[in-house]
Amino acid sequence: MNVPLRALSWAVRFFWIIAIAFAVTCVYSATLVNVDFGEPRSSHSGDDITLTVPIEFENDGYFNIADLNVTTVIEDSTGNQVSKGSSHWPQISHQRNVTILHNMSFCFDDLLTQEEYLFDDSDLALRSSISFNYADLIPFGFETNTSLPWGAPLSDFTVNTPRYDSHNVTHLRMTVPISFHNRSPYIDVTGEMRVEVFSNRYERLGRTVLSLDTPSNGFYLGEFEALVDRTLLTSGGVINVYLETESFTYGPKVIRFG
Amino acid sequence: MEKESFFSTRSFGIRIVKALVKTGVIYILFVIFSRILLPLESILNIHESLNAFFYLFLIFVFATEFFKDTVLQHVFSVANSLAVVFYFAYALDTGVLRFSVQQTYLMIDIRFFFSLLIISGILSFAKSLLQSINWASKREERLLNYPIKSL
Repeated sequence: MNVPLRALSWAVRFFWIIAIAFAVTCVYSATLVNVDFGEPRSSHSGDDITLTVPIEFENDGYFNIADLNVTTVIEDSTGNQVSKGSSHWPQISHQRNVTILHNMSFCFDDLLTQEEYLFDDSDLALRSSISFNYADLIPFGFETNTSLPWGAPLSDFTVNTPRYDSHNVTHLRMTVPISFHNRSPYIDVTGEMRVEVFSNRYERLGRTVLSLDTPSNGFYLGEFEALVDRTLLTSGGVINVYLETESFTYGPKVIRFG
Repeated sequence: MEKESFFSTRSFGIRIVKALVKTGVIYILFVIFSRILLPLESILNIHESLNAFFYLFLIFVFATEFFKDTVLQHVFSVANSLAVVFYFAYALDTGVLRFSVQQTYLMIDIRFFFSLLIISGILSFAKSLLQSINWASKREERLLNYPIKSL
C-alpha cells in the first residue's frame, strides 16, 4: 500500500509543480509578445477603397499563438456598417515574427448620400477585436472601441453672397464664389458641379456647370458667373448646387441669400 | 513506550498547537493571495464564494491536523479533497475573466487552470481514500498482532 500511496503523493506534487510552472511561464511569456501596427496603405478598385494595415506580431514567448483573428468594423453615427475587415492566422509559433496584412474594404456609397458626412468633418465608430488561443489552451480576447476621424470631401463648403457688377444697361454680371476643402484622405472630388441661381420669385437668373478636380486634401475655389437681366433681380434668392462626381452624386444643396 | 491517549491533556494541547500553526500559515498565505487579487475583485465574481470556500478549507486543515492518526483525519482529508473538486467544478463557469478599462475590453479564459485544480483535487481524493484504507488495514494488523505479542 505504501508504494501506490507514495506514487499518488508524487503525482499530486508533480501536478501542482506543472500547474504553477505553466501559469508562471504563461504570464511571463505573454509579456514577450509585441504587436505593432504599420502605416496603412490604400488602394482603389472600382467604387471600393481597400485600406491595408500591416500588423506585426513578434512572438518572443515560449508558447504558440493559435487561431489569431483580427476584426475591424467601422460604423457611422446611425449604426450603418461602413466597413468590415477580418483576418485569420492559423498559428504563430514561438520565437517567430509574422506580419499580417489586414484589409478593410470601404464602401462609401451609403455614407456619401448623407449630408452630414459630405459637408462636415465627423467621427466614425471603429470597433476592433483581436482573439487567439494562447499556448493552444487559453482563449484570449481583446476589444476596443475608438473613433476614426472622417474628413468630409466637401468640408467648409461655402457659397458666398452674389456680387453684381454692371455689364450694360439691361444686364448685370453676377459672380458667386464657391469654395470647399476636400479633407477626405480617400476620395478625390472629380466631376461636375451644376449651379443654378433663382430669384425670390423663383425665376432662374443663371445656370452654369463647373468642372471639379480636387484631389484628396486639396482646396477648391471656383466662381459662378452669369449675366442677369436687371428686371428679374429681387432682394434675395436661392442658389441650388448639384454635384455629380465619380464617387458620389448629391443635390440640390439649397442656399438662400439676401 | 506507551502511546499517549488522544484525550490526555498534553496530547490535546500539542494537537491544538500543531493544528493552529498549520492553519495559521495557510491563513497568512491566503491573506497575501487575497491582497494580490484585490485589484481584480470587481472582475473575479467568485471572490465571495472563494472566501467562503477558503474558510471551509481552513476548517478541514485544522480538523485533519487535530485528529491526526485517528479515523477522523481521513474523513476530513477525503471531505477536503471533495470540497476542492466540487468548488472548482462550480467555479468553472466563472473562469472566463472579463476586464473593462475605459473603451477597452479584455477576456481571458482560465478554465484550463480550474480544470487542473479539479484533476489535482481528484488525485488528492484518491490519495486520501488510499490513506484511509491503509490506516484501517494497519489498525487491523495491529489488533491481530496484539495477542501474539502479549504471549
